[in-house]
Amino acid sequence: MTRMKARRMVGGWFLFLLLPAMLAAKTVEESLAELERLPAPQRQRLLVERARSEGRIGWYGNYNLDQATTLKDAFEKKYPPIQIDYWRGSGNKVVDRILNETRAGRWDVDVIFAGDVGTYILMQAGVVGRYRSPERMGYSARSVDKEGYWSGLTFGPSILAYNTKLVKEAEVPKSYEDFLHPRWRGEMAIDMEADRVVSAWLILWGEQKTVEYLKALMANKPIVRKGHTLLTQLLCGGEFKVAPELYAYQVTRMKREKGCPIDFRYPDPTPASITPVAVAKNPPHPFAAALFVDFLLSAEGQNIFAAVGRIPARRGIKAQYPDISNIEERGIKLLLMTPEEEGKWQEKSFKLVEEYIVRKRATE
Amino acid sequence: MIRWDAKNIILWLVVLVLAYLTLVPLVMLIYGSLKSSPPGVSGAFTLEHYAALFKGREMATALKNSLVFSLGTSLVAFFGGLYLAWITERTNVPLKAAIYATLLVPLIVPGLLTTIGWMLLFGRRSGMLNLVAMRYFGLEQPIDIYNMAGMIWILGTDQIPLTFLLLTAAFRSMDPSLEEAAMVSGATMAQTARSITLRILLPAILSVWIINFIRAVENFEVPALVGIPGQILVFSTEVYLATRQVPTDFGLASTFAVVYLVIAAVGIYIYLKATKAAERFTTISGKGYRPTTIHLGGLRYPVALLTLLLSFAIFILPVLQIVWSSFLPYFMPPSVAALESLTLDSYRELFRFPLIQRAFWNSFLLGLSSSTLVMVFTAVIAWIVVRTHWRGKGVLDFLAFSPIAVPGLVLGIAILWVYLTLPIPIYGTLWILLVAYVIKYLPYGMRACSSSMHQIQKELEEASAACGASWGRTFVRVVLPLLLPGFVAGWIYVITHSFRELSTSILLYRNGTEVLSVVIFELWDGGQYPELCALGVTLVVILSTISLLARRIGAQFGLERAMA
Repeated sequence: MTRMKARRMVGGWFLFLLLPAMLAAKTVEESLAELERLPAPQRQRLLVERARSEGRIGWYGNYNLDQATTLKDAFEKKYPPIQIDYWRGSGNKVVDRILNETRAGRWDVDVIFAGDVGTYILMQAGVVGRYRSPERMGYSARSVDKEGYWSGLTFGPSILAYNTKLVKEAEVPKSYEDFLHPRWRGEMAIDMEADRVVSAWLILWGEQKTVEYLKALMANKPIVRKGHTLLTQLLCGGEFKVAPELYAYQVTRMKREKGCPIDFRYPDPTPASITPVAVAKNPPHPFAAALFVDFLLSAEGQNIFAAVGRIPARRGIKAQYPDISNIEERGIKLLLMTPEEEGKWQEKSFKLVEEYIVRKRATE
Repeated sequence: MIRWDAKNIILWLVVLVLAYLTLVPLVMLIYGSLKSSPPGVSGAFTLEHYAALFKGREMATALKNSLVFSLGTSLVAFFGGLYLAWITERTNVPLKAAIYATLLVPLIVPGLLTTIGWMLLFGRRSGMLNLVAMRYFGLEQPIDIYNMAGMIWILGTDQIPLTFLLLTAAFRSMDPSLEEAAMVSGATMAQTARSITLRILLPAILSVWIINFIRAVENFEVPALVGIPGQILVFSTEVYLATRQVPTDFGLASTFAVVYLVIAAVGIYIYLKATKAAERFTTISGKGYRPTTIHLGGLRYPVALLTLLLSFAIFILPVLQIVWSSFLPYFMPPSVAALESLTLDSYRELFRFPLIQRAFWNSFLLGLSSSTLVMVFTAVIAWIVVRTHWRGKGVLDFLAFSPIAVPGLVLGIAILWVYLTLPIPIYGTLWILLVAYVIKYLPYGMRACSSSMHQIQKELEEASAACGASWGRTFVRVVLPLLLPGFVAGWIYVITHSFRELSTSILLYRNGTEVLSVVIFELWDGGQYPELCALGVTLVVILSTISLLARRIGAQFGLERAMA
């Protein structure tokens, strides 16, 4: 083999290796730019046409399999032959996976559900692109990002839950303070990753009062378990009587669909997270990704979120059950926390959780 | 000058493949632990991760807890396994098949499920055992399992079957004439057991004990589900807590893994020392070697019943709890109301996902191929290590054993990075999972094969060679058949455990390559307990079938003569 030939082969290899990076070099904004200049009907036609020719969507998310499957099926049915590849992991795993792949120059992800903190971290890492879906018109200013990095899909109010068989009506806790009562000693439970509610306390009360409250709460010997869904199930079985930070939609589902003897109260104000959807910065299928995000934010998509038990963020879309519908209209004050806010408070709340809940320092 | 005959080519091929499989990820690991930035990002070399690891005062407590936990677990597993292996292999108790059957169960059920089973059984208000204890045994307070004793109990009992399986293989291939000689010379049964049986089995015993110990150090499910709520943090849960924050600190994770490696290296050192004089214990010779059984006389029925009852309570009860929960809409104590609310919803819900069928198929393919590959591969390695005087055989033994020290999560990260960096296009396919499984189960295949190999005398191979058989022919016709009990035991172990493998798969699977354990984990992580229990039950049914079939096929080769 001549040296020339060898060199050409090496060069060819390099080109081959660089190919994916070169293809992915276009950001989602650049890819969709021509789209955004068109009037609405043409835009929609072109979007669907391009999305169909792309044919696939890489969706990485932390949603339950059954909920994700329902969303996926509805979309695939509406826009054949587009196929969604859903990869599920916890919020952390979604973040790790995207960072790992993109650092290696691999862009397989189009649409991201990484939770609020996860989305914030991905934004900081520069792997999230901007997409301002026209469907964002139907949302309040706080539930979508001004810059277009994320759009809120659902709300996650954190509520005070209790077992209706084991707790008398008069004794039902109505505020965080009520959980310090000696009657709940060893009879309440908290998630070992209660970062979210702790962030809310930090926002509401400041650091000093939050630490004092956490110490007092832990002195009342709560049972510490991992996972809000598990805690909700354990509350059904009467393993403990009350829980200060379960999720409204989970408690409602168990109560309504499985006939669990549990119920809840909204604290004032009620901390609520926003579940954001984001698009990767260099998505392999930008048009299909945009079409899927539009679908998720549309009234049709939001009704599916409602049907799987979530609390839709779009104005005017009711949740499936009255317990979690029209929350703000009923005069319940929500402390809506954006991914940025959660992201910023997360470091502090993570430390407090680790110190007081996981290691139970200073309470023994 | 090396002669390139079949034997040498195979030998070198094995060495190369083994080095590639185990060393490349290890190099990545050590490299990662010394790097200031995550893989793929340029950074400087640093010792900060090591400093961070040993700075916290938590580490001393965690190491102490790990030690207590692993010692306790390995003792429970060891004595449980030893008792059961001895009872079923060496005595004439009846009902052996029933005892075997109870033992198969925890071998098959993923650890996560057994742990959840125990947690449910000991629930404060809905746990059956606590209800019974409080109602009929006058206990004032429910029994709390969220403490060290609970952790040791759950993992220790979960590891009994592995111990049993490995010890059984050793028992089966033991020359009984030594024991007979002791008995004839007037030794009592206890004396014989102590000074003959135990000593002959020493290499097997030590290797089993070390495997148990290291598996306990590495275990995550039990310390996470039971330990953290009880505020007992061990090494693996400290890793988890250290890497809980997103994005994962790969440097710190790799550093933990390197420390694991050191612990395991100490274990291997002890093991190698202890088995150095393995020649002494060679007990399979050209002579007939069916061990005789010890007659328990009038005690045989009471002993059998008691053993069966205990095995049932320890191995079956948590699984029954899972079965029971899989038919319930939510956790409930057994009651009339619960009976009325029994439902098939969880199963219906579960099989709605096409994912489940795909996961079954993927797990099946991976399990079958990884277990076969591992066993054939380790049989050759074990032969090299035990039989040859090749200078590098100590390194070979170490390499084959080293993956046991790499926590699954870190193995996953390491492999991920090997194949995201090297131009070998298996990322995102089933092949990467196969590579991972083969690496992960090498140590187990190796132990199963080498303990059996130690007990086969050279004279049989020499006879074969003397008759003019090639090395390959001797290996296939003489060594493998003699190895078969250990080989099949190891094969069953690997295939059932590959179905349970989670911590590595979770990082390597992609769309289309989901495996069952990942689905189980996702259900757990998503809190879908009833569906999780339903999937667990389905999995147990399938794996039991595979194990029974394997045993049936094994019986064709004379493996089960003692069982009938």
